[in-house]
Amino acid sequence: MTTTKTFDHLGSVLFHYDLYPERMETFGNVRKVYTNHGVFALKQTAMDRGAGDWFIHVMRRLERIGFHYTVPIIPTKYGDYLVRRGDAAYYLMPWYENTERFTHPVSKEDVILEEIAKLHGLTEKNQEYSEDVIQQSFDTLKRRWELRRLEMERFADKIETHQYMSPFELTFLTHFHRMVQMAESAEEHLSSWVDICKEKKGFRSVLCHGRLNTSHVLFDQYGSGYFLNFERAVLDTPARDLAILFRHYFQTRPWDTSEGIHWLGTYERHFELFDEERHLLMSYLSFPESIFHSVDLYLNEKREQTQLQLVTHLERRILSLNRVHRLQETLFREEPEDQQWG
Amino acid sequence: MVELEQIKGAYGFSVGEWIVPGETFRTEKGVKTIKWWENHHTMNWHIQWREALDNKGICLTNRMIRTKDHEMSFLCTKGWLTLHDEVTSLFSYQGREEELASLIAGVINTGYTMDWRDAKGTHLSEEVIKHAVVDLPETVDPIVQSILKKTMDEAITRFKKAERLPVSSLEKCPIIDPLGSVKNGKEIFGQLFWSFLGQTPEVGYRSITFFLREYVSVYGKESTNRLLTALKEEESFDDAIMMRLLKEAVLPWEFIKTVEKLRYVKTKEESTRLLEEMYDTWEQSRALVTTISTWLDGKREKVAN
Repeated sequence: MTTTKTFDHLGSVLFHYDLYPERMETFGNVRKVYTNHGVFALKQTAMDRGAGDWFIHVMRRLERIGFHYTVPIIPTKYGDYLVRRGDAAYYLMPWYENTERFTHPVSKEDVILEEIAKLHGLTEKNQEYSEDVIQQSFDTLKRRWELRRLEMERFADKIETHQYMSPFELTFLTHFHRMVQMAESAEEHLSSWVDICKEKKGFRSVLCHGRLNTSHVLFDQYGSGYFLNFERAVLDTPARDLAILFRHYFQTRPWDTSEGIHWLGTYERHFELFDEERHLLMSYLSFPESIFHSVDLYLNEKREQTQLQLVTHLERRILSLNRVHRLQETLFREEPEDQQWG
Repeated sequence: MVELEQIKGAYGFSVGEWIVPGETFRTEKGVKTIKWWENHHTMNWHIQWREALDNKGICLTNRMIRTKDHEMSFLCTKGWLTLHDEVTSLFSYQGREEELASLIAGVINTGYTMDWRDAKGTHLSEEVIKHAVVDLPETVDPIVQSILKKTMDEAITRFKKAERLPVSSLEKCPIIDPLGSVKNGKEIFGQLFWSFLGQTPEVGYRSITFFLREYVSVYGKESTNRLLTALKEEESFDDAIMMRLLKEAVLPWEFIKTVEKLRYVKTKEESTRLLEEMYDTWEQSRALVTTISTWLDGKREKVAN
């Protein structure tokens, strides 16, 4: 965090709000602005006109449908939601202090899941069925995954020829078989998704936040969460938001199968997934992209991480992948229909 | 006079104090100025104009501040009004000609997108010049009348020279809110803030030439050359527009405007003063024509070399 007293650059932006900053603090792309009219958060972002228009549309829609778990965007005195300066766009919000201690016990993870489920429920829309669209989505993702798998197989082949493997290479190769299994499993779930969609001749979309993680939700003292940063919001399957959020949970805290099932159950109490959406979620979670990403980092010649950091990074992701495998086995265990997902 | 309480209520100000009654007042959100509109249609044109120009993201302008109900205008007992920021610091043009060039190019481009209805035309003919000095009122000093009749010949010569310039009459013309004076350029937090006056929309490039005429007289040839070069750098600003500006500078608009004003003078002294003003403007036009021509010649030489 830095404090600045040079306001000229942002002064002309804040002029749109009739705000004259007394002091500012910088938190990444957000400035905490102290004025005689209160404290505000000024976010700088790179959005072209199209993305900006969509972002405004999303914020207005959230207001219209009565979804109040958002940090509101304050319009300028001219009625705009974004102020443009060259390639950058700015928007202003009231400053919400993120509370860590609540008046009663609250699980932040659960609150986020409950509220995002409500958002998905409010914006649920059955899309006009098009087999071409479904097939195209399937083909594109499958092709991408196949390419990634091929890259990793080549990497594995290459390191197998090394007389002395590095700790990272050794770790990768030790778990490579499991990765291939998970990639195959992801493809199977993806095929199940496309088959059910074709059978049902339909699919639905919801408004996805697009970048769900705990840093994009601010909590008040009562444990209510307020979402911010809808810049990547998109109409898509609910599995998209859930996969992003689950991956974030997996990487930021220890978890086990029962917690994974609890999270899904918390979400589904407010917005139940269809079978095909569960398959899609599981395919997103199963594909070992995060491990492949570790390899990308390792192969990057300009990498900043040490070998030890990379191995730790890789180990964590392998651990997480194993947990996903167990979660998947539990969720898709053959059971009588009425006992599934209970 | 309009009730300040009514405006405060409409715009959600808690503090309001007249600085110039009926025009400017101080609020907790800075000094605001009122623009009264006699014609609702004209007001809407100017709302559209300033919003369209703002969309180009060039500079700040005195856009319409929204009411509490998110309206861009307010109908009070006295009529339609819009509310604007009062910015008083003047813009420093020297060394920042690119910013002004962007605004001028933006004004022209926005002007191409505006509609024609109610726009004031700016056509001049030899007949108009000849008839201008006929039947001037007796309040005009006879010496002034005599000088004007002699000046008319020079005005016609200027008109003919302008007509000979290679300007196609088929080119599209922008409809713009005239930039007015260089004093309308203000500065806030280091940014250019343009105060449009909300005049009758005008078709063509004449008002830009009037602006450049004042610019060259206040800031000199060097700064004007830098401005012209910066204009040429603007993607949409081509030689045809520069030639249009030159043509408008050669046309004897100051002659026509002075004669129009003379029809309403009440004293001979007033007519003499207007004549002196016309000579000043005439010289300014000459300076602009010389500057543009020299700049164009310089550009051609560079191309030839």
